[in-house]
Amino acid sequence: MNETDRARVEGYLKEVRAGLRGLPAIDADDTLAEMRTHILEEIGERGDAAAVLRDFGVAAEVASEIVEHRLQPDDGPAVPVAPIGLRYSAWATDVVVGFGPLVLVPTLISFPFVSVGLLGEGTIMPIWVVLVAMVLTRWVMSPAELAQSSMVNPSIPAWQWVMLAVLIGWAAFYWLVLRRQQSASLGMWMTQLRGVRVNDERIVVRTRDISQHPAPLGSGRSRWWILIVAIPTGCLCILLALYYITFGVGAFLQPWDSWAQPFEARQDSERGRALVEDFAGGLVTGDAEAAARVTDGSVDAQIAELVDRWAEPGFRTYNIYVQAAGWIILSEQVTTGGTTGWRDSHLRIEKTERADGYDYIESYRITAIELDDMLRPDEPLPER
Amino acid sequence: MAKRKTSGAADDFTSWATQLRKGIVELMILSLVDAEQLYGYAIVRALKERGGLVAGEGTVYPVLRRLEADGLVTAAWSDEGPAGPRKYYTITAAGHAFLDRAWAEWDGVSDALHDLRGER
Repeated sequence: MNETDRARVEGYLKEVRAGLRGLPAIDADDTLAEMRTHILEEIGERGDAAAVLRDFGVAAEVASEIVEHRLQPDDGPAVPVAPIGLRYSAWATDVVVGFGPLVLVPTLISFPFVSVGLLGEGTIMPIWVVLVAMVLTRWVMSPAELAQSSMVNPSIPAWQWVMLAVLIGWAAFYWLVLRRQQSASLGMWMTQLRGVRVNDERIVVRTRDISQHPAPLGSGRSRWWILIVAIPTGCLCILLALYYITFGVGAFLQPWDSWAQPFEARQDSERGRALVEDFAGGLVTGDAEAAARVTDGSVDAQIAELVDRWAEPGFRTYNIYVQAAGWIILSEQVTTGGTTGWRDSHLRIEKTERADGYDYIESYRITAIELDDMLRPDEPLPER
Repeated sequence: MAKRKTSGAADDFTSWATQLRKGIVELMILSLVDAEQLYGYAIVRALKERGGLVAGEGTVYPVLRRLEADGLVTAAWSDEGPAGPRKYYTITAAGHAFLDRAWAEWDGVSDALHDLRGER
């Protein structure tokens, strides 16, 4: 037999093997070995490989008949479908293994002991959070809102894109190839189930119900210990997925449009920002009295320290970030020892209202200042 | 009554004949291995000689798998073949019993059909 005929035979058997997918591997190997001997002997007698393969039958049909005869014989009961409890256990375990890394890995690398300790990077936000911020700043917020919010387009480093591609690729490979095609996923292995295609329908059966060979020693041992790890991991994945979904959906429902924001909250934010602008104006000119005019008089020591800091040669500029619940961050950009970074001061803004005849007069004052001496990396703060 | 087309009638008969032969291929295979141990290709050759194979040769293997799963035959590998190891099939006691009952059933049906034919 020449190489062409040999390749033809192997190609035919490969097609039969593909059709037998779902049967236990040892049974498929057995059947194929038998067919190979038959075909090679007949070619040896007749000499015409193409004719032998033609007489043998269409590969897909031969395989399909073998599977059908095994699972749904003409006489006798059909092999029962696996119990729903087993199928659900396999499915749940495979969801955790296949899709769990999509939420677990980005969360894990955002932990400081990983991002700083292992990777040597600064703070790393989970990629899903950064993606939401990217969509918001590029396609949702108007330029005016973007300028007001002090947010900037976040960038995602190349290695994080690669990581995301690998995680998505793993999920697709695990689910479509390992689980659906080969029944070789962890969940299927744990529950000893196999997915078999019969007459264009995929049914899930227990391996022992269709295997024709005795199981290897020890293979029947229970593998349910896998659930000890899978269940808590699955619960964690569900919580993380809910968190990211809520964050993602919630971010788009936030009142970025001024008309959607409650009037009073917007007014407080605007007046608080204006107050801190006045305060910063006094610091820049070194006029501590001007800065103190917008406070309640309890923060003179902090004002003096800020005036000194802002008068140093390393001071470059400042930024204001409105936070929630009456706090505003006043960040000063400084360069010390060749490194540029930001030092934050947390300002507490309180509003008081007093009646004046038929009017209410609102006044805003800075009532507390918490100075932070730590120099953080040169990147903007997210605003709430 | 509508006239049946000749080609349709021929197709119907071919289909019936195919189903009839398919129904007895298990009986033929058991009878062959009852006489002697045979491997897959030898069984196919014997069936072809007797006109018992109406579909592709590969369709013998689903039947053999089924007979093995039902415990009517056992199989064992042997290294002696010129093209590779051969899997030889041997009928079991259960297979013998099934074969005896199948022949009894066949004889009964065959006698009934012959009686009907004789009455014509």
